[in-house]
Amino acid sequence: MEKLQLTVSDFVALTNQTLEYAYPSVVITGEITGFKINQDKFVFFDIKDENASVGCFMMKFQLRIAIEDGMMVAITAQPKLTQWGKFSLTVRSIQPVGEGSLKRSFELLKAKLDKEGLFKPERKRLLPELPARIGVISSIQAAGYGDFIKIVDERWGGLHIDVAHIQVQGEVAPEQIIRALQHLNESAQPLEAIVIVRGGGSLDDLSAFNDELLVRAIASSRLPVMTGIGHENDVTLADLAADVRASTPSNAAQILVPDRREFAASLKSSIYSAAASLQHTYDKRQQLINNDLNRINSRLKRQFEILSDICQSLTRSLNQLNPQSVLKRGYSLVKLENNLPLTVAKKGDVLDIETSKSIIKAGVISNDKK
Amino acid sequence: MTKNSSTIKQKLAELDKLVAWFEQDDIEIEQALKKFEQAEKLAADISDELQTAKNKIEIIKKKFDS
Repeated sequence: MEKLQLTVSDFVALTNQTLEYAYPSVVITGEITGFKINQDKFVFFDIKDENASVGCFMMKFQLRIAIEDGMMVAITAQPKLTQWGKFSLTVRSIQPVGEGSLKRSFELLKAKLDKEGLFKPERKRLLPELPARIGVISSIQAAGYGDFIKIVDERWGGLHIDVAHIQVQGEVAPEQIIRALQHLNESAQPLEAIVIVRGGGSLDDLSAFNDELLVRAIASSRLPVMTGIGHENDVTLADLAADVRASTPSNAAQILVPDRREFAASLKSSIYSAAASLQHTYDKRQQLINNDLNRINSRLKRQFEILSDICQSLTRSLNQLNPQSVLKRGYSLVKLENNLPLTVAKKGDVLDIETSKSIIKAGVISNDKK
Repeated sequence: MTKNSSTIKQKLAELDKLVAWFEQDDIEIEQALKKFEQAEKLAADISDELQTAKNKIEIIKKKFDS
């Protein structure tokens, strides 16, 4: 076999070509040791197990979770020989492995983002009361998405839903969700809110929602974001950064839209309150009319009493003038026959003398001038 | 905004305005009767529309792969 004659640089380049061909991408699981960040840009650590240890390098912007020494991780990396002859792994992504590491990573990043104020209650915005157009980020094949749509359809109508179909787990999920968030925030047809939906899964399945850049994208979303991720007890950092956290996809649907039956009932109750107000006005008006009638009535009564008094006094006066009353007082009424005036009476004429009790016929003896 | 939604929303806003009118102290009875009839009709229309309105789902064609 012919011996290769190479410069050092060529040897390094050839080795890297060979490595790239043989191992374009490897996933290695191990424990982190010697973790450090230089110049706030370059991340260095070693990954080790009981018998071996390999140096790792990555850019800080690619580190999207919190890590520390002693944590078990799975790295996706490419082996490389540096120009200084040092073998290292260039890491593209890193995931905590095992419940302990996942939880520790979660707590570390949570503490960091909390300190920055990403989860503050005062940052939270309200969702629109009756949204007309919203965006949903989910996998349309996922059960969680199906649950969400089913409940929305049961409860409400007339809503336009733009769905960004993405992968809800795995290495690519955070970046896809970030892109979907950007897309929906800049939608040509303005939306009123974004809902991120994902059904239940293991801690590892939900780890996409603990990605630092995704959590930051949710916190900085122009539109209010609601998350409905996993089951009731699952809390991801995405949930903490969202404006509204629903416990499940179905719960997100319940929060998003009212129930049409309950809504119709509330409409009825506002109509009842208007009816009560109308009744009150009617009663008030009726009371005013009654008051007016009472006032008129009492005035008429008084007028009637006055007139009645006048009438009685007139009757009394009339009674006094009645000739019968005069007769009763002992006077007599003397009339000439044929009702001729007494002045023309002459001797022999018959007079009718009326007393209160009898009529006496009498003759005229004389009628002399006074 | 979809047609249904905007109609329902507009009608709801109108109904809110009508109901709020009844909350003032002095209302004129003839006007109140007229407004009450309008409110009753609006509420019935909205309830009817809500029972039949369907949601529209549109899957965005864009791929979100990096």
